[in-house]
Amino acid sequence: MKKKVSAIMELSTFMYGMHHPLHSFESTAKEFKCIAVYNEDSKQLEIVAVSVPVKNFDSGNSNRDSHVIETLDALKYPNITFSAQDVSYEGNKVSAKGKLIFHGESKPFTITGEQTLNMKSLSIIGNFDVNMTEFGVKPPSLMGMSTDEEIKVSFDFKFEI
Amino acid sequence: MKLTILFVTLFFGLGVTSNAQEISLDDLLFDIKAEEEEPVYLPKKMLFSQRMLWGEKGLYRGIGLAPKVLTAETREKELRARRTMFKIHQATGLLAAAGMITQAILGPKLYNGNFGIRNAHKRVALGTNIVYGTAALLSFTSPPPMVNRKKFDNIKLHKLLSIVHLSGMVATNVLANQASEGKVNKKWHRAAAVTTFGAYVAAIASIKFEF
Repeated sequence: MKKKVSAIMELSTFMYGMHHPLHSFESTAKEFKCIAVYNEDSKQLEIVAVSVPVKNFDSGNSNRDSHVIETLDALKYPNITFSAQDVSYEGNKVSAKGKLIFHGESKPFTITGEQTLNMKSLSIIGNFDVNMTEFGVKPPSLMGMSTDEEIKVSFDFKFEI
Repeated sequence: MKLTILFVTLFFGLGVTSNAQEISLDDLLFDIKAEEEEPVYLPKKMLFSQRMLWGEKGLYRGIGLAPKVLTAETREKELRARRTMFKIHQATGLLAAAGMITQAILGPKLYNGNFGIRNAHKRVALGTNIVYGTAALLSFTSPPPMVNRKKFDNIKLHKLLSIVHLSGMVATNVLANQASEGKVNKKWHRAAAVTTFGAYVAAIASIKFEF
């Protein structure tokens, strides 16, 4: 039996980190959406879709968050979306092969994570890097210095099953 | 008749069970899309100058300097203008800092009786005032950012310190004129200049030190 499950916002996190010569920072999405199809027999996720509105990221600095919205053209492309229907398992290691839509550009992308299963909850924790230039994003700059091209993303999705 | 009812029940019953198990990726993406929020183009919280100039009923929209109706495209242009203004603000701000450092070298020499550099002190002051004024004007007249939260952060400190060094710049200039006319002791001009420079350096440093 398969069923649709949504990540519990209060318990889940989605964040990214970036490095600038002046300082590194991390930014957490206050709200995002992660829905998956859970197979109750195999106790595994089969399909997954995640959407994070760029405006929901909070790095603790309003100006920087606003700068990120500008840099990512978030008025034109408000969401970062990942979707996959090729989810495979090796023990508790999960690999989701799908596509990432970032800055309006869609590219094949694989995200890996680790699944933990309890009686009533399932959690997937993982991290991955995104090179912003591959998605047509110019690294933002401050005081004439640019950030690194790599965006380090980490997530912890908790589902009630 | 009973057989027909049984057939219909079985047919549709099986159909529903099958559909319930076939949740596609499109279904998930549809659910995500259904919950998307309407776009908001201006932050709830704005500086008084931003609201006055760039608010929905702001002066610039009234006189046609900014688009009357906010759309994703028009707001994007405003953000691009903000970015350009911000970059010029940084460049002119650093030039003003260079001017202030030069004055910190020239000033004490003038105090010690080297009156030959009086004109150089005046010219550097004029240049510093021009670049400082440009940086300040760009800051106060730029379009609002997309996000403006209540939390006190290093950028808010940067803005708070700007009130101190702006007041200091005005005071330094006024006292410079009064000191040259012999109306006040030049030590007050120096005190105002040192305070301004201190607040200015702290404002630049606040960009680096986040909290």
